[in-house]
Amino acid sequence: MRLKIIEHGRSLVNKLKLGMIRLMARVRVPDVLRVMVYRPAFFGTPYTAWTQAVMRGPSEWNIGERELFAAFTSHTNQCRYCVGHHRATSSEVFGNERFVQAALDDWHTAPIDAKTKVMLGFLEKLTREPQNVNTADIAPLRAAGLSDGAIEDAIHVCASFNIINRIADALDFELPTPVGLARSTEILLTRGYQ
Amino acid sequence: MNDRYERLVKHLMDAVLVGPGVADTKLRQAIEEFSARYGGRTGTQADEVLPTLRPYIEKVAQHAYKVTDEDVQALQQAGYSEDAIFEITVSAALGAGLARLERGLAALKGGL
Repeated sequence: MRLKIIEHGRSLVNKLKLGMIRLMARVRVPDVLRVMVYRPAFFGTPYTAWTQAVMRGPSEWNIGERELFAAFTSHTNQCRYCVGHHRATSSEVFGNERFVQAALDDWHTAPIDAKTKVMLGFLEKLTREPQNVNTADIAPLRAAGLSDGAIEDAIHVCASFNIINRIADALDFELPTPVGLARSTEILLTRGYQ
Repeated sequence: MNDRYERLVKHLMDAVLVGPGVADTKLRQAIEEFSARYGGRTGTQADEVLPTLRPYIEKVAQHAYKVTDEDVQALQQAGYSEDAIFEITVSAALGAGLARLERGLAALKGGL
């Protein structure tokens, strides 16, 4: 974490919150959580409200698929911190780590269903070269049977993670220990993002 | 944009770009806009951002994993507080994310 004020907490309330989280989680407070509780009105509260709706609200995509989109976007942005958390969370839901890793390594050849495959192809382009995305890119998604609602939901996952990937890398979030990662995965699957 | 998310995205934009902060709202908006241009946003007028901030914002917008300790130290040496650096970082990240959101949804609606 490059900013000491986020590492240690800004206000007394902020410091107390970090202390409570540390006691409850019994591990180092993840840097992403530090960012959310530091000046929550500026970023954490509205960001997590949106992300919770996108990742856990009603959608044609199940939670494992949305976590895969999050991991995939993070992988495309080379954000190790976010890839680690969301690969683990998606793997936990699917009960299959190799399947998720195969999708991250090469979505063209991964043993995933056609809808997920074309969606990953679109999210890769939207993350890597958004200026070249146009209406023609939507045709293969519809041809695979995806509804506009499903496409829209995946675009929101991609947008949300394009934001947090940049914050994580610019501020240099500390990678979790295996125990910390397991604890974060558990929290993402029980409490979600809020 | 989908009604379910429109209000939530608007809240986030308001908080980061017009809410209380250390950095001037004009500066935060200019940073968001500058960053969004790397994400395919076109057709809007962007204020130029200060030369001291440009390299950092360009990195966050294009390849944030390349940001180094020295990049952040350079901002501190230029007089930006940690609170301000946080706001600058979030504004740049927001621009990158929102530009992709706009681009993706515009393509879906057949407007690109």
